[in-house]
Amino acid sequence: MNGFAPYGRYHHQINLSGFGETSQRRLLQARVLVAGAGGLGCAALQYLAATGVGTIGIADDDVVRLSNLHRQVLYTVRDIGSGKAESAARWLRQLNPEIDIHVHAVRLTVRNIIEIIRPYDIILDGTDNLGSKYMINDACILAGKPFVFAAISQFEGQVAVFNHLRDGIETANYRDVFPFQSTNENETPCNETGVLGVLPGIIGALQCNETIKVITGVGKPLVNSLLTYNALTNQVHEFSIQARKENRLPVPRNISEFMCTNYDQPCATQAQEQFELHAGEFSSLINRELITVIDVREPYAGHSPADFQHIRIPYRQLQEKLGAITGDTVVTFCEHGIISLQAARLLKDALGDEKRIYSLNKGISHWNMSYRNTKP
Amino acid sequence: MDVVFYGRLAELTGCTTLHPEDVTDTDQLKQKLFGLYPAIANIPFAIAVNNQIVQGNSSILINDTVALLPPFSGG
Repeated sequence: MNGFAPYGRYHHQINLSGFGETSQRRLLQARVLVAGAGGLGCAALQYLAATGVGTIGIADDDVVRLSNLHRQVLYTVRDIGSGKAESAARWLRQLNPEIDIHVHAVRLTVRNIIEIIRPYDIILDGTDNLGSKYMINDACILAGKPFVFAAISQFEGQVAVFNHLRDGIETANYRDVFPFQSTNENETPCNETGVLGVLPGIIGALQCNETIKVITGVGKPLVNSLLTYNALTNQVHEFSIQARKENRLPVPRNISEFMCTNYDQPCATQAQEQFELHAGEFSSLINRELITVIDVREPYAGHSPADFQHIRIPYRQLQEKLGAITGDTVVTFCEHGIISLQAARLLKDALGDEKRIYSLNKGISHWNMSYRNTKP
Repeated sequence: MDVVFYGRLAELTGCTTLHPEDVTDTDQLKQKLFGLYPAIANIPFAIAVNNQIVQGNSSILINDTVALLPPFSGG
């Protein structure tokens, strides 16, 4: 009936109206990297392999534990103690020996990720921490690759296709939803808050579906859109996202800057150390002339400190209110010292060497705890 | 107006929806919510008005639905 060799294995999807041999060929030619072979990764991987994505990379440096098995369904009790990437690859090669599976048994870092993602067309996010999600997002922006994002918490999941260039036009990335990486104190991984075992199965399958749509061009992927799913209520919502230039400001401007960025501790970015002003240094500067101290938090966020003079200009309004900055020295602050660091960078870009610009290290929360009550 | 909490915000507020009155923009809404639930003031979240993610201060009308979405980190 058909001379296309893979017809036997894939004929149920080749027969799909609007899919056909062309889409199957695109899948077979596609190269997808799955970053993290946990709950999301396991679910996505088995369908990526089954559907015939021709080259699949698996990046994970973790080993299988008994407590993983309720949601990481590529592993068995025999795999406990073995590497996840190797174990997953072994299973997938049995499922589909006609595709190439590459194992990257390393932790993705700013040092290796650009090199590892280079041969792949699409990066699928199966990581379990915000630092990795921001790092992959930024790496995909710098490398110009689409990023099929997902994240879960307890009974809920989020899915989106970020940075999928269309006719050369930039589309939304993760920072268009959450512009700044928060400090890790509010981040609670799955193993602490718990997660329903089937949830990453559902969300990971959705991610695989988005990946298939991006590869084949069939259907409408979640570009400029964030899907949320609630396993308890079956409620599905889609939120539209606008790609904004200002949200690209926190993205490292080039690969060397990216390689100096610390996504594990977003406060300690080497490239931005020049801006850091420690609380002790700040205490000797406050209330002097020729200093402008700026609270860059949103209106109403946190109490305004009463122990030093300052003005409040929310980060987003800084660019248009540069005229309000009169001092020779400028100190920005926010709650934890993250947004203020971005603000310092923005001011440096806008004002150049005209003024000395600093960001209060660890933010006003640290200042309040360490200095406010000890200094006269 | 319907305000819908997602993820940890629902956990920390103890509710999934709220119907505040006398709120006309997202800054006022945040001020009101931080007063009612101080625990959420330190949680990052995105705001969507009628299914559109917004940034900065956005006006809210009486029949609007506002979703508050924290980032999820799990995988």
